[in-house]
Amino acid sequence: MAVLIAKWVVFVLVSLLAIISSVLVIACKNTLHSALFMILAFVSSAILYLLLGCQFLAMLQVIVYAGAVMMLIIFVIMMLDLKKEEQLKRKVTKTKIAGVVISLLFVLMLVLVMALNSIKGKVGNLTSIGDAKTIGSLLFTRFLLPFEVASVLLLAAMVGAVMLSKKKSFRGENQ
Amino acid sequence: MIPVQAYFVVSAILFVIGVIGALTRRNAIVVFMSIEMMLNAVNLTLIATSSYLHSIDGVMFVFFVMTVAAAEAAVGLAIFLMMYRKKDTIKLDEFNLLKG
Repeated sequence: MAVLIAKWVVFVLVSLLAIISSVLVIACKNTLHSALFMILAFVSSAILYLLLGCQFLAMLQVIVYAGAVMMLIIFVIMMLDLKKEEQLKRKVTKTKIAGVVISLLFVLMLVLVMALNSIKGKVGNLTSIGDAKTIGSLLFTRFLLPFEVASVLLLAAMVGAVMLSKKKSFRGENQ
Repeated sequence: MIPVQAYFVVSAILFVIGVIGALTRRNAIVVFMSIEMMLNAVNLTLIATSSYLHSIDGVMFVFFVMTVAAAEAAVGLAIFLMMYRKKDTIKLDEFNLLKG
């Protein structure tokens, strides 16, 4: 019983943290502040993964998202001079109002559908979904092809990023 | 046990915050972060389902979603650098080359 209450307390607090920091990501004027709140949102969803018993992906979330991806984003923010974007005044246009209203209706619908239905599906027999051993052995047996395709995708992304950010255009124009 | 619906509601709210960010902000990097937020909300749904059905498939799916998101981040940020070099800004209103 005490464990359940503790789990609920952690769940509510971490969910509120995730939601508030996500709202601050899109509300902050300063892009760097948005990025820092984004790290907070990622770390709090990593804690939610831990609560669901998925330790491996929680670690991966902290290392890949909160570490690598956000480091890259902050690096780009620091490289660019974003004063013009930050001084931009917020125009409230009809399109934006329509977007917000439709999004709110969408969340209402999602919450109603998800809160009223229970999940159906074949229940598996795994006792732990979170350990690296299970995931690693599956990656090299049942999911071998997707795993190899993912490595090719990462290679292609790396080559693409290098080609795009080279100073000289690859067609040999400008210089 | 916390009901799985609680996780679903949290991830629905996170997803819609991402949608609102992508629709209303004009700063390309903030829009990019909103898209990452939507991916993250879907990951939470997949892990919750996987955990409640005692099945590994959702977890594997999240693994590949994370791979794709990392690749997307690398290419996307390189594109933002190119955009900045061309126009000295990453305001999305300035980029309407494909508008026709």
